[in-house]
Amino acid sequence: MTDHFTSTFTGGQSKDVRIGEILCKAREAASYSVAYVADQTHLKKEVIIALENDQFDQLPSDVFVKGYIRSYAKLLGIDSQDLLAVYPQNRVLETETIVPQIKKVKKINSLSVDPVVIWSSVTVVAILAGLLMTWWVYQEDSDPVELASVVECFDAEHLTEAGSEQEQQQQNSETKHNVVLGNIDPQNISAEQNVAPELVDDEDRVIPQQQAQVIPTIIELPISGGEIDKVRITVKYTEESWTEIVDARKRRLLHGLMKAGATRVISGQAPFNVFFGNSPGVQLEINGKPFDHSIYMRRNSTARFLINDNNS
Amino acid sequence: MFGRILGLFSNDLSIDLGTANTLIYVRDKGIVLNEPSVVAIRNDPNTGTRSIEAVGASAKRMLGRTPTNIEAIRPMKDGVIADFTTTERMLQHFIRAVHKNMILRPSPRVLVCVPCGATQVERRAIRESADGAGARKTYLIEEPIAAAIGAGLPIDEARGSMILDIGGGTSEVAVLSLNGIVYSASVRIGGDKFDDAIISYVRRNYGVLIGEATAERVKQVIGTAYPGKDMLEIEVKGRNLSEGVPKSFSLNSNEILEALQEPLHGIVSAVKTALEQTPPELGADVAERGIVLTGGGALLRDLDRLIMEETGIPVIVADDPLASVARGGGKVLEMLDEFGSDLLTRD
Repeated sequence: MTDHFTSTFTGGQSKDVRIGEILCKAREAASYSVAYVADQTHLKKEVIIALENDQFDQLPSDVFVKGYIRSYAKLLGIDSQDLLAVYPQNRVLETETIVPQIKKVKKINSLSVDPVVIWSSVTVVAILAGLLMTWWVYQEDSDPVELASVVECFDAEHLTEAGSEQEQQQQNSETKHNVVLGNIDPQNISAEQNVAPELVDDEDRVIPQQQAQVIPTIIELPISGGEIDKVRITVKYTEESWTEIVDARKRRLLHGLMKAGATRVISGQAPFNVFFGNSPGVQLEINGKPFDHSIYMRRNSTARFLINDNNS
Repeated sequence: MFGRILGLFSNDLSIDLGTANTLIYVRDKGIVLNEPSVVAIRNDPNTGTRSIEAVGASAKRMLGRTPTNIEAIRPMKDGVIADFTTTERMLQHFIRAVHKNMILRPSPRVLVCVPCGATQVERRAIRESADGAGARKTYLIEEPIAAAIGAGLPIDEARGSMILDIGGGTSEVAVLSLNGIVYSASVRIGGDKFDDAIISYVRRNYGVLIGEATAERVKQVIGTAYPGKDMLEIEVKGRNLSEGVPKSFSLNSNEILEALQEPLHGIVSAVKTALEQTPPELGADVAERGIVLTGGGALLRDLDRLIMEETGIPVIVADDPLASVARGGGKVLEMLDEFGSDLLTRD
């Protein structure tokens, strides 16, 4: 009996074969009633009838229906594997109850181990790194802000501006180093190069080697690319103040929080765009002349103004 | 950030770290590894070092057949880690085996299934051993949830589904609804206990000692959980306890059925308790649709029939029950990016 059904089933017309029909015929051949089958498999009669009529949509999800077919087939002595091989073709609807969650999944980490993928990633990373390096090097060579910011590194305790006409200041001040910015002539450069080692010798304080080395470097740096700057501004801080001074070329000559007691000398091309965070604590000299900026002070002590060629 | 880049070169893995077998499911590839959880370690008496001799199937063949300087260990016991270092080494070996053709050291995201009865300490041990084996991130999931998803149960519906996962060391029974566990219990009865029961039955009735591997073979070939029409027989060899010499004799399926009564009773009791504890609405759903059997234990002949007769509820064996847990874990891993970690366990 079993052989008969199995051979009918596998006889080549699997598309036309209905699972329910095979089960029904096998049951009748074994002369079992639906009630008997239901009792043996602990399933409801309705389930058995639905199985025999291929009404799978009336039954719960796939896993259960397959299980029911398996236990029914086992009772009848049929090989359930052949029946289940046809099953998915008959049932499409039920798979959708579970699978949608999985189908929607974005495949984020699903790159397979493909050498092409690995090498192309490596190449892209290398190119990006190369571009980054090129940009970095170019940035270092061309950024004028960097030069101005070097000036800020020096504290006023160590640095005081001394122009060629103000050299006497350096003798009055015991702890001050000299920096010449702006219009430098070769004489000044040589004078400054001589001063730096003297300071190390004369003073008890040990000047950090790094600073001593940097001083001549700054002198050599042509801030305005060799052009002569017209205006020299001296900024003295009696109180701490945030400061930003930008010259006509949009170079940021001074930027950041300055400490009380600090003195900064900058030179550049007018007009200068000046901003003081705490303007009462700042004294300004333009080309050696004191400049009163209190008229620009706002309610919150800040001051923002423009210094033109005529010092107005 | 760096981990994500490394992740591009590793596959996400779902690991069913079982007492008897370890299965690994790789995302988009399916089950790629199914090896016994056995490690053979060689002790070097001169240097005092221990090195891995074999892992998996080759190590299992050595079980009970090793010289003094090699020991074959099953590092998992009762569903949890019994030997931490060896488990770590074993996992490391398996993860590398899955990433065979990799240039870089693999660092996959790993989802490991844990028995629902595992304690905090045991969970932590599993997590740390996966981390130690090279996982970039380790997730844990309760075995019944993974088994249910792997079997294809619609656990996201507001209907009760009961799953019985019989593994090598533990059996988990759980009622699930709306992606969560309503009731779960874990009994430390599984395939290993079946083997032990067969060994002690043979010793008691035949006065012969057989090994674990032989007992497992007997169970797989003629083991049955419910009296059937056919009687199967197998020829077995063991050591006669009184004479001390090897002895050959035959066992039949009815004897094995008798031998397995005790562990089977334990499992049936767990199922009955679960049915008692299940809220009535969910219990009705379970009674209508049936209990789903997964795990290697589900392959024991007529186990579904036994539970069906004992509970009066239809019992269904899942497709490919051995791989249900790993497959379910894999599906969870696939859903992780989109649906978050609702299904995962927190420790």
